[in-house]
Amino acid sequence: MKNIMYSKTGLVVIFAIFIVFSLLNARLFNGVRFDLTEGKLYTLTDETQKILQELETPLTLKLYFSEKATAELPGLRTYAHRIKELLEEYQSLAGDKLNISYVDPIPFSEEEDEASAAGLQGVPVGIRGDEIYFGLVGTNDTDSEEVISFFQPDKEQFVEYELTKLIYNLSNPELPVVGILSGININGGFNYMTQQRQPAWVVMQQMEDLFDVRPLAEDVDEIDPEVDILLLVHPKEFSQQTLFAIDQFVLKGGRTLVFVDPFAEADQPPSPMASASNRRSDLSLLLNKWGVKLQEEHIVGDFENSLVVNMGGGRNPVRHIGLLGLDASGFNVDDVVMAGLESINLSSVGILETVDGATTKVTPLIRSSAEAQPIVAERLNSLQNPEALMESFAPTGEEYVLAARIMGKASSAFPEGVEIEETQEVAEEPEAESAEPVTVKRLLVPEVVESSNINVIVVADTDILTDRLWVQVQQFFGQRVVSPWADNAGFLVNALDNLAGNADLINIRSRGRFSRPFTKVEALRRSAEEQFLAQQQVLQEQLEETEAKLLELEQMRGDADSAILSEEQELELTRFQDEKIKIRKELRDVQHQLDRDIESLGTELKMINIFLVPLLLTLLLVLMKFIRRRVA
Amino acid sequence: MGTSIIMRRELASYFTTPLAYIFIVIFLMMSGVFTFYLGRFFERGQADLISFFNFIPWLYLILVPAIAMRLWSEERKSGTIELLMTLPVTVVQAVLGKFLAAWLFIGVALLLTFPVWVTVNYLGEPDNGVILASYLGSWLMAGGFLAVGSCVSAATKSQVVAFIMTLVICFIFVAAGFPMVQDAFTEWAPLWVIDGISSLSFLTHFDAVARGVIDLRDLLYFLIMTVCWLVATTVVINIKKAD
Repeated sequence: MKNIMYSKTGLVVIFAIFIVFSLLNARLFNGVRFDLTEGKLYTLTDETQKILQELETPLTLKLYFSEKATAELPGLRTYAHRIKELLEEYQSLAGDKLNISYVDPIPFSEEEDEASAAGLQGVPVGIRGDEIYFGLVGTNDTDSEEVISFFQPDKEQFVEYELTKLIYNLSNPELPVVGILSGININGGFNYMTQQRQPAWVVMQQMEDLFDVRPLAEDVDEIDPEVDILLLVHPKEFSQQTLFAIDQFVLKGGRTLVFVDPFAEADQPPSPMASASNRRSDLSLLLNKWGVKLQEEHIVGDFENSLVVNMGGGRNPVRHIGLLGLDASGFNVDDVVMAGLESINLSSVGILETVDGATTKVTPLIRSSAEAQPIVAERLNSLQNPEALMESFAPTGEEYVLAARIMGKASSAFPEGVEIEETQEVAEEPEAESAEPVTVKRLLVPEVVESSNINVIVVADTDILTDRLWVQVQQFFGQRVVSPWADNAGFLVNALDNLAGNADLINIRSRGRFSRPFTKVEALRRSAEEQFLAQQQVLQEQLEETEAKLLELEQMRGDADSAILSEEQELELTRFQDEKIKIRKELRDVQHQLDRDIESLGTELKMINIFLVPLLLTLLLVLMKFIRRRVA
Repeated sequence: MGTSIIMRRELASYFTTPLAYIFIVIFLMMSGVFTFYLGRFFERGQADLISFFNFIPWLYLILVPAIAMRLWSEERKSGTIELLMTLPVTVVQAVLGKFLAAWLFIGVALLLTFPVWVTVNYLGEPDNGVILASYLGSWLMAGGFLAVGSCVSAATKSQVVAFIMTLVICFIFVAAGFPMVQDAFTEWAPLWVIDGISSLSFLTHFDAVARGVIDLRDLLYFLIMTVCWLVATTVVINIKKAD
């Protein structure tokens, strides 16, 4: 030993030890780690652990990853490695209930056929165009199959949710039933304006992954008893019978999620001239009984949460105070439904109010900012430029409730029952000469008149569900790929999950994206905009005035001979022209000023970071030299 | 005991010359320039320090060899190494003491980058756990670089040769995780070799820590790296002493 430490052989031995240890290290010490990230991003959640520990029947997971074909894609290999580690963590928690195997589907092999038959997505790479696979197939003991067709590296933060959802679905093959009654074509349909078939909204697809979604027939006495959760979207012109059925469903303890809207943009009226009230949901009869009221004539204008819209055609983007992008500051994060959601976009949102003397407990889930004001919904109907909404906008300082959870005691809207008219085929008398249907009256009597605990979530916007507010749909290798840019669907699914009484998945899903914007810069941008908007308005008015006066003068000149224009008038004309140029310049300055504050903040921070500490250190050094010299 | 005496003596010697200050100033200014200009920290608008930590390995590549080169070369050239060896400290203690001093010195330089941390907390709400892990990873990586430099410095009398050799070896260890290096092996080497090479890379392990997860394997990697090169330093000094 002593000799080795004194010889060149020693160096060789050390080198060998180094290589061997480094390589073994990667294999031997697996899974011991400290997760320092804020949301414990790399640690399995309690919910996943609970779902895994409660597994009753054995499940098989097969990870297909093209090892050989991805040799040139180190990024993807690292990600695959991470997925394997994650699966090993799952395995260690679930014990023998989870069988995990890894398959390398080499081109033209049996495994490749298997992978593609299971619905995995082959992605061609490289010059030869070999297809690579990177997906997962899960099966349970009854041979139900669940598939993740391709692990997209940019969706890494959702991977735990995807995996746990897959396992949950396999172990609970029976999905909760969601019954939908909708006043708009959420399920797609034919658009007579464009003469085209429209696909179902993406939220439908998201729901179908997790729930047994069933469109319900209207005009029935009773909501199908198999329905666990009732989803009402834009209820409008529902018959008394349907309302009665909903009323009874809720009172009997059926959980219900309602999307109402004072101005549902997706509800295209037959005539563009129709008034805004044609796009209004109508469920006031029932909502009142549940303790809330939708302000029917108004939408919320909210400056702080407003979004900037692109106007196209070379026009500047403008702020739209009716189009809201809310972040967690507007959410009731104490409610599990909102937990972890980062952003929700809404458009022409209504206001929910608690009815006087309500017996229910109304808990707000989403609120506007205090910089908000109700705006007459009718104004949206003829709105050309969103900026026009800013005119006469004066925040009331009140935070309006945009979505709420309702629980507690409520009574029926139809305590006396409801009389309905039905058309019936007269079948009793086969010999009757006319088989014409006749109208008969029938009284529906409520089974339940009062309930001690209803369970309803009401959202004052239906546009929240439309694709345009939260998702981008693209075709990727022949598949429809959806890339969400807001948590609208997350909110819907959270709410349904929660109402279905299956809240385990919620915390995993809501780990969400990890965008952490510079809040300081955004606040700066907003306040600058606010400040300059007013200034801009004043200047704009001045400009219009001046232009009008100029026009007046020009016309005067046009009437008479131009030479006759008095000297005074001539002077006035020049003055106005100068004025116009000056105002235009000021307007441009105002626009530039918008960015200037932010730019200067950037420059300041650059300077501080690059020079401050070096400068201080230099000063310190000089000071020390000085002191030392004095001492000496 | 011997280790801490050597360490303190060395550390004090750093701060008696302006060289150390110049080093820190250059390090801070370069990291600032890289972060804000190349990394476009402000324009990215994201409250994290990715722009900063992405350039740290490259900064180290220049600056750590510059610190390491004088660890032993200078002593050997000027002959003070003989004097050092007559002191009642073992070679191991001397190696460790010098290494720790230099490592702490880099730690101080790293800590002085705090304005960028203050900045990002002023601008938004960053994940400070991730930032802490990244700082820790950076410092561990510096230890690895430094251990390599220590060994090379012990092997040569010329500081310039020590600097260049350290830079080359460290570069190899950084670049091992690169796609183009991997490409060179894909055609002929078996997969375990390719994955093995990537697992030898500083970058692979630093990136893993900088995600915000301190994995035992990454810690062990830096530990093995540092310890092996320091042991090698001891062996080299012993061999030279015997010469």
